[in-house]
Amino acid sequence: MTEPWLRRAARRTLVLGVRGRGARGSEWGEALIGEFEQTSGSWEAVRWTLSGLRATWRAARVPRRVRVRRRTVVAVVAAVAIGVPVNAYAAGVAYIPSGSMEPTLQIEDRVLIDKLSFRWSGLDHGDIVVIQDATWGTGSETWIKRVIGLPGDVIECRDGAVYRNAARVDEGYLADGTVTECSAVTVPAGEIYVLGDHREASRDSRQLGTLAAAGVTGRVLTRMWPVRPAG
Amino acid sequence: MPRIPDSSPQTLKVFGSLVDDPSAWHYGYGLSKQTGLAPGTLYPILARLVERDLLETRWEPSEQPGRPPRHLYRLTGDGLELARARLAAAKPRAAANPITATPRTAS
Repeated sequence: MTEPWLRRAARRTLVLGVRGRGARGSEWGEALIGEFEQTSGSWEAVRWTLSGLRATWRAARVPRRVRVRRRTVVAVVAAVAIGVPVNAYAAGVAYIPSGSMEPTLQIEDRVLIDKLSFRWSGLDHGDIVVIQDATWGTGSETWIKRVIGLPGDVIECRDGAVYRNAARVDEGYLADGTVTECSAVTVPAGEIYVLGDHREASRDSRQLGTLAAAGVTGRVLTRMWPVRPAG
Repeated sequence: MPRIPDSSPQTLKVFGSLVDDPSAWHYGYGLSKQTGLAPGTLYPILARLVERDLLETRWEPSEQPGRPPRHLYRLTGDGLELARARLAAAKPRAAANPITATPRTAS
């Protein structure tokens, strides 16, 4: 009876794995080769080869001193493999550089940014967004503002309050006594009108005008640090 | 990780097989069959025991020409002592934990 091809392949793999190009491999590798002939059938032979090679390689490749626990390696690799793309495309943490969103967000707060879902669900009134727009500031600055107007909205200010399409915008998030002054504008298609919550300090669509919605890179989900009761 | 060295269930299985016939030389394949351990688990255990002189090894030339020699294992005096101590220590622990010691029966 001729030997099944799978069994022959398993033997060849084991010998090659243990000896490489040399005539003799490690003691334990040779021990595995010695026992290979005892296995019966193709599958047992394949299992013997795979499991045995795993052991000899593990012992040979890494000297004991540098051996890192497998769980640690798996955790680090998984964290990088998942974390890097997630951080780049899906979510991230941003740092609030200015007081223009006070009292909602303070300087040095850390916020969690969702960089993905708004691309499907679209933006909504009241969303706090992260903006990078070539026409705003130096073009490389990151702005954090609240969406007040979406395409087609008419934004105006009366008696210190913001009106959208002739209806007063309920802005419970503002500090008491906040007065907003602005000139009326109709938001063009593909653009948004944004304001900072700290109306006295914020530079936003009141001075800079509407900006392309494509400049939005993320939406603030929640404040991560410090933990304060939501204003 | 076990607190006591050489007391993992896998090592105990290997000890169990070796202690059954302590004066005989054991083959790796036979140990693998008896213990149900894959070579990837069994051989590192054997290697650790050899490193600490608990296990002695020898090569047996093949009777059939062209076949590779086989590696054989036997506990040393120290090894036998340790194996018996570990197996004895493991028994009361298994008895104290009836969930793993006895199969569940429907009642």
